[in-house]
Amino acid sequence: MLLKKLTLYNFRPFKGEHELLFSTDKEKNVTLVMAENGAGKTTLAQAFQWVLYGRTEGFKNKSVLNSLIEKEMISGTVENVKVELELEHNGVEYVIVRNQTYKKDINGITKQDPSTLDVINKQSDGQTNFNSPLKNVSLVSSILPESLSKYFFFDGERIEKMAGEVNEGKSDEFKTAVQNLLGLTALMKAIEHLNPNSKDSVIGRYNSQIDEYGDQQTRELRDRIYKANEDLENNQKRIEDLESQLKYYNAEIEKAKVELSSYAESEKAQKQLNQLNMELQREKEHKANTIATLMSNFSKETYNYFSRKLIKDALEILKETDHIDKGIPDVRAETIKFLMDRKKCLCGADLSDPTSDSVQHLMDLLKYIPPQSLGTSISQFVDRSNGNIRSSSNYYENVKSQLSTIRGCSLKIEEKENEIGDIDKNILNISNEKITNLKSRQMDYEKTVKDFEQQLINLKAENLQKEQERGKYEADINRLQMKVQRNQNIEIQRQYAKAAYDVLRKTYDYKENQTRESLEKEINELFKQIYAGGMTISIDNKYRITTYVNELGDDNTNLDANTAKSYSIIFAFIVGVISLAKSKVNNENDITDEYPLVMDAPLSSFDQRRIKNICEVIPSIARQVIIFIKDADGNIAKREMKDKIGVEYEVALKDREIPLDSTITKVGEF
Amino acid sequence: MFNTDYTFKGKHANIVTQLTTEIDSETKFKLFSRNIDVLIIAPIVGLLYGVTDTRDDSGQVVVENVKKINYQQMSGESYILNYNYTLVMLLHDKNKVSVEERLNRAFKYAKGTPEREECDKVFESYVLGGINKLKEKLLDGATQIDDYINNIFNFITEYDERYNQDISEKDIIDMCTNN
Repeated sequence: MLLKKLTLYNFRPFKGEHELLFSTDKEKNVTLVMAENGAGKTTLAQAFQWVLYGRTEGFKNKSVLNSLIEKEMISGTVENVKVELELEHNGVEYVIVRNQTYKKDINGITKQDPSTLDVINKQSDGQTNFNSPLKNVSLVSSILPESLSKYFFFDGERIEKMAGEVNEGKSDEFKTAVQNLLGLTALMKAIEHLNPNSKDSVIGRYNSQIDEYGDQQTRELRDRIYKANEDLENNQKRIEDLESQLKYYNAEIEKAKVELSSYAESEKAQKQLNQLNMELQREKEHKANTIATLMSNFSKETYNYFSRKLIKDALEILKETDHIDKGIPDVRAETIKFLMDRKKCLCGADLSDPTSDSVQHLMDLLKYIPPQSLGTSISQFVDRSNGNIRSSSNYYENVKSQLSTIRGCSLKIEEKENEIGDIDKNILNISNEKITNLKSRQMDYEKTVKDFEQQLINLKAENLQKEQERGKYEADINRLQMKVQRNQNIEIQRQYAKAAYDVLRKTYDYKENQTRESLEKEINELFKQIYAGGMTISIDNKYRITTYVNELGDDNTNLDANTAKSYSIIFAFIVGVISLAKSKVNNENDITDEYPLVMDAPLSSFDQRRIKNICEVIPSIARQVIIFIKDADGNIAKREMKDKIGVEYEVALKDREIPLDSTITKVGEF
Repeated sequence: MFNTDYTFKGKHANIVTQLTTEIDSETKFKLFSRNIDVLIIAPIVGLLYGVTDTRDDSGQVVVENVKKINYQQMSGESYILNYNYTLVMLLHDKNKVSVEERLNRAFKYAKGTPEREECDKVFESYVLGGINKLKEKLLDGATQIDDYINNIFNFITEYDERYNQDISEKDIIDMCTNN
């Protein structure tokens, strides 16, 4: 990269347009910009950072608009700041332009738009290309990565900061420089990206993704599946056993049913027998009752019945007589005689007087009563006959009917007894016992079958549940196995990453070490030039810098020895980096061209001899050197590098009474 | 004759015993409940069949072949016993003896008179003949209840066929009314 021209417009103290044309001569490769205090020396150095990367790190006031202009702005007006850098890189000429617009609002407050970057590249045929904003940023980065830029655009404030760190034994800048140099940054980033000790790194994430409990869970689930399988197998055996037994018991029940049905006839016969016995008993009772009636009638009434014929004959005899008279029934002559002897009648009348009417009446009665008269006896006999006849009028019919009933009963009894006799008693006896046993056995079997069937239902339900559980366990295992598989995949990837990390780390360590050693060597080489071997440094792997002062003496008399030493180291470091970069140009992608050294150099910190040495060394190392330097140091540098200075500028305030309005004046071109 | 104890003897006592014994152990049936029931019907049967017999005094008198009807029982049934006596006296020897004599036998001859004693013998002979006939008709050939029933029926049917079909109950009642 070769810087050609820097144009400033309203940039900080540089009101209006100002330009610096840098020396591009290979021999007189130094552009010396001398500035008085407060004129804008540091601003010029920082202008490179702004135009390339938009950075304003070094500025206390982030506004880059010239303060005078800003003050003059009225509400609603717009002002523009622009820095333009012309350079050549890898044979292509670029114009890099950064613009920023400032507006003053109605309240008088100045507001700035984000700065814009334009990169115009001029082809060798003179054509100009304009690029998109994104491409512009990319282009700038390809010309000079921002991370490296600080070594090439090196301002005084950083020198002071680094010097302080060196004095305190810290050396971050060295470390960063080594890392950034020659592509090691990418390597370092790759290492950080992979770092196994970092949680957020690739390997760290792999670590976190690996499920260390997966295997244990899988084992537990497999145990459960084994248990479920065992239970299922046992249940299945039990089910088969039960089904086999059910088959047996059902067959036995069927056999019992068949056998029982064969005894149905016997059962029927038994019922018939019972019915017949009942009917027989009924007939017997009926017959017995009828016989009882008949016998009773016979015993009581046969006499009257048999008497009928005799009574009829007797009455017919009596009919022919006329002996029936007016006697008193059952009063015989003996009765009258008894009353006469008693001399008192039944009615109480006195019979003592034989001549009385009562006695005469009784004496007359004797003629009509037995034994003198048969009439009364006959009359009584007839009366009794009348009664006897009436009481036997239906006797024969009744007996006949009863006898018919009895005979009917007898027939039925005989019939029933015959029927009963026809029934096979052997069957009855066998079947009763067998039926009872069979029924009992059938009931037992049916109860067993019911019990077994319930057990089967329960076992099948249990199996279903266990199969579901097993399915769930298997699904879980599959899921875990996927995890395990993933773990394996992750492990493989982690191993790859680890291997890559190890290779990168090794490479990095090697390169870093090499680079560090090269840098150390380069610095010490420079020190030889600057200090003529009076001081050497060593940089350990922790980037701690140890200085070995071989030559002190008068060198430290007029300068603070430590400050000088620090500044020497810094210069040597910067120059070493540039030198190293230059030596790597052809080997590394990051460094594609030689780079200029743009530095804000406080040479006054060094003693005369060192300044001389520095001024000799720097132009010889860098292709192009642009030094911003204050007046006093400038003169020293001008003297020491006079053969190397191609262009010289002077930066000064236009009016010493008016700050923030500087001007750049070319004072010489050699 | 009916105001003292009455005793059957010999074969008649045996017959009376059979006629008043249970003919069926299960049902306890008897043809006649009491001895006096046999005494009541026997002269009627004897007269109907015209059979008589004399007292069986043969052989040793033992308790088993004596059937006795005591006085009290005789008195209780004296009304019907006397009625039977009258019937027998009216109809015995009706073709040989005058109505007048038979009326005397039936109604007039007093106890203790020779005529009465002769009549009593006649009456008893019918009683004994009747017992024989009852045996013949009811007991002979019968071993079980149905046999007895058959005997009863045949006995009654025989009477019915021989006598009863010609008897009009109305005529008898009319005769009773008109006498």
